[in-house]
Amino acid sequence: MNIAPQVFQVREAYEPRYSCPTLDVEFVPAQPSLSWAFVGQVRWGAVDTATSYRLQRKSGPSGIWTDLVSIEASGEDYETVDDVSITELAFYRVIATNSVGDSLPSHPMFTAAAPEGDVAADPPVIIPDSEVSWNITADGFTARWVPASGVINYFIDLGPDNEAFYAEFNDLDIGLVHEYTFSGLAAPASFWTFRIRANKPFAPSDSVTVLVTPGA
Amino acid sequence: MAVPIVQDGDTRFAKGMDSVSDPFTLGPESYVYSLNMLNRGGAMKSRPGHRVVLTLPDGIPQGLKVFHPRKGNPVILPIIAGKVYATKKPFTDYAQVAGAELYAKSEQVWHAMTTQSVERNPDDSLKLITPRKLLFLQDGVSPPLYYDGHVLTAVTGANKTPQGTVMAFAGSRLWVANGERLYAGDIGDPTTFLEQTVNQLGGISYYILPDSITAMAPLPGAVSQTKNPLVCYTRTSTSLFRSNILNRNLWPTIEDFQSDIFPNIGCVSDRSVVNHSGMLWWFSDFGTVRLDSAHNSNVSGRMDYVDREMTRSSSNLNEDLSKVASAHYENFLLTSVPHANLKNEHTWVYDSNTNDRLNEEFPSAWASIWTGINPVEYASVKVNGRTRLFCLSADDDGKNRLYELFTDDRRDNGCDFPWAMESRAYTGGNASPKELRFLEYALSELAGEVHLKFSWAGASRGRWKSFSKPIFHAVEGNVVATQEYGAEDGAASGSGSGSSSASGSGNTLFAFKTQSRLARTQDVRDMDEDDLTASGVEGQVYQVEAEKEAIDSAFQFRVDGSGPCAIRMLRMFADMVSDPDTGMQENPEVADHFVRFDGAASKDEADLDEAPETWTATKTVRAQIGNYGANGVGTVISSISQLDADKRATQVASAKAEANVAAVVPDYVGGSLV
Repeated sequence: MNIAPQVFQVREAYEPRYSCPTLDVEFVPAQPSLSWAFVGQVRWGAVDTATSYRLQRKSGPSGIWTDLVSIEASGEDYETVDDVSITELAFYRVIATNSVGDSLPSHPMFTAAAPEGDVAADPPVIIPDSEVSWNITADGFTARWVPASGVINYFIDLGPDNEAFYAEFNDLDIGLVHEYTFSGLAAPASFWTFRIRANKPFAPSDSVTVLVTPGA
Repeated sequence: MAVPIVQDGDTRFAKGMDSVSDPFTLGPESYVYSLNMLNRGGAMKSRPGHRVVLTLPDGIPQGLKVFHPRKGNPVILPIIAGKVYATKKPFTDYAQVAGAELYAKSEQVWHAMTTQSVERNPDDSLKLITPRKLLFLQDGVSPPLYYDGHVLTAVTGANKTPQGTVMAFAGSRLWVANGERLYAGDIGDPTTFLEQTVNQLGGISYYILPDSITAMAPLPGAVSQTKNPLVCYTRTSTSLFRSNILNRNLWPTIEDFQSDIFPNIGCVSDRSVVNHSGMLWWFSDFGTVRLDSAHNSNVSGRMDYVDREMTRSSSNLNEDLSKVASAHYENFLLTSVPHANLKNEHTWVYDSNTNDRLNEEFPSAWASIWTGINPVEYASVKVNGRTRLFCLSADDDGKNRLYELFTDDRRDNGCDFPWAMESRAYTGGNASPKELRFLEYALSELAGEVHLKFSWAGASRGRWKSFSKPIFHAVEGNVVATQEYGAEDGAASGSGSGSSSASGSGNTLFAFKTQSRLARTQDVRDMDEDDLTASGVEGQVYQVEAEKEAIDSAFQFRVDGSGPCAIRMLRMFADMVSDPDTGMQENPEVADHFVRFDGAASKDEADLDEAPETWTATKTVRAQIGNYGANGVGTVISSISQLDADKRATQVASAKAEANVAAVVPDYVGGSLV
């Protein structure tokens, strides 16, 4: 509608459209969850607001994460990456990305199959418990075991007597360490039940259980 | 070398913008056009800032209302898709108001702030009550609702407030429009409309207007004969109702209780009706109209449209003007119009006193056109004694947001915005041909990194041609980032001497002031002719170096900028050119002449396919607080330079990154975030 038809115009300036910058808060994407779809193919559920994903790999527990592949978000419910090597031990994780930054990495996942010929880990060799070597007190102790090759981490459990394990020490992943200190424990009726197993990809060891009598 | 002898310019810009007149004919202190500026005090300044207050839910933005309680701070009520939301000082969050809802698909919600002072008993007797405030809402479809400060209540039943659209509270009655019908409620009780059934107007219980009622408002000022009547508009007419006569029994017998005062001038949008500087302003089919009741005691006479100066914007308005929204703030009148858009992309700013001086008569003027937001409706509220102006904006990204206008920092959410002005045509006192040399300019109020682009063009032809792109750095604040200050360091203001603190680092903090510059552009004589010059295509054709655009009878100048700045003076320097002492023989044009909208010209149309020059920048900035970090991304298109685009994109990215990281950092309660 021209409500003022008598326009005197030598020229019009070209002015790019200007919109006031808005400061709506944006968040990094939620943490994705990685899983094996088939042998050699990984997949994860699409994460809201993610614009791309980075699949990362490291060759061993002490390796360095490096980007394996980066893909744009497809808009599908799931994203997949094919041809993921399973012939040697490796860890994989995925990171969702948008303009704000990176999500927390997914929990790492091992190669889909154990390298050919691999065997289960040996159970940990416990250093004998004693008030000296384990420093056993009335409310705690330090468990110690011998380092073993091929192990990538250890899982431990702890509970009072023969009852259920304490929730915070039930199937606890303590990483690749060779001693663990408990402190501030409640006194059990007779002893603490300490259990440990060594872990290799797809080949965990049997568990070793030690009963620890509290010190004075 | 002698200074060029032709000089002309402006040292004051108080008479405002006039885009309808020939720039050649504008007098001193006027300018042709300005964008995102103000001329308050005579200098051209970048406008105050806009600040996002809240991002609201998606849906049709139906209105922005204010509830004024009898005590306490007002409540701002954005209405979106039938839901009414409420936000109060400090306006950091909002919540949906409980109770009834409106129709989600209505384009608009109308309101009236009322006071209920009586209640009708079941036996129709009246009971005086402690007056209470009620905000009535109508959507044209649903039953009316009222908000009492707590919940929304629907009004239904016999002899209750009728369903309708436009409302007004005048003469202690609620007036409700439904189509061309106008109903008057019971005195003192906006929830009942019983009186009209026992005291009818010649057999009918309502008034009828020539067309659907579009707006209503009490006329400000005291008029001897009619005393604060209710002005009632249709799209094509304006009527008065003497709502001040409280005794309803008198209405049928009062002469001119209903009178048509402007049979051919109506109002297109109820949101455009504003009481400003003692006058009633509204937007009609043909532009802005104002009624000064003090001057029009008989409410008749000449009515002029007062927005012709905004022709550059008004010549390209959408057909649907029903959402034009106005507001007043201090001496400013803002009118948001749908320029080249369905939304109100342009806001016209009128300053009723461009120089607040008691002892000097200063003109009112259209100051500028503001952009950046698309106001749906304004709300002015007084919080802690200070009036603040908010608006609901239907933003370009599809979101609805609540903004506050007139923030002090002259930036939009902390980011520089583009502004521009075009001068009148400087003739140097005569219409003789002259050759442009350069422009001298004085700036003030520089703050931060300010990018400018000066362009020139002949008054009769040619596009804007840049001839200077200065950048000024005027450091803001009062501390240097690399210097350590202690908690005991004191701040000093103004020029007084501060005292050093014994227990601090001994520093007194002095504020930095905004800065000024006096500079000149390049000399046009040293610059190449424009690739798309208009010389030889339009403008003068007789032989005074007709192939040179820099020769014209007058010259205009355009200043584009980003960053807080004020233009205090523009002064043109030009050389005289000898006029030929002969006439000329006509020379019929045989080739086609093409001139693009921006003045670029050629005899080959293909030459004009090249897009006007702009610069785009996308920047990503990461903000880090302890272990928390977040990115922000800003993309900006600049008409000044790549450096300007980079600066503004970085500012936007920084502001977004800071907002993003602030949202994930937990509240600090001591200790370390690391």
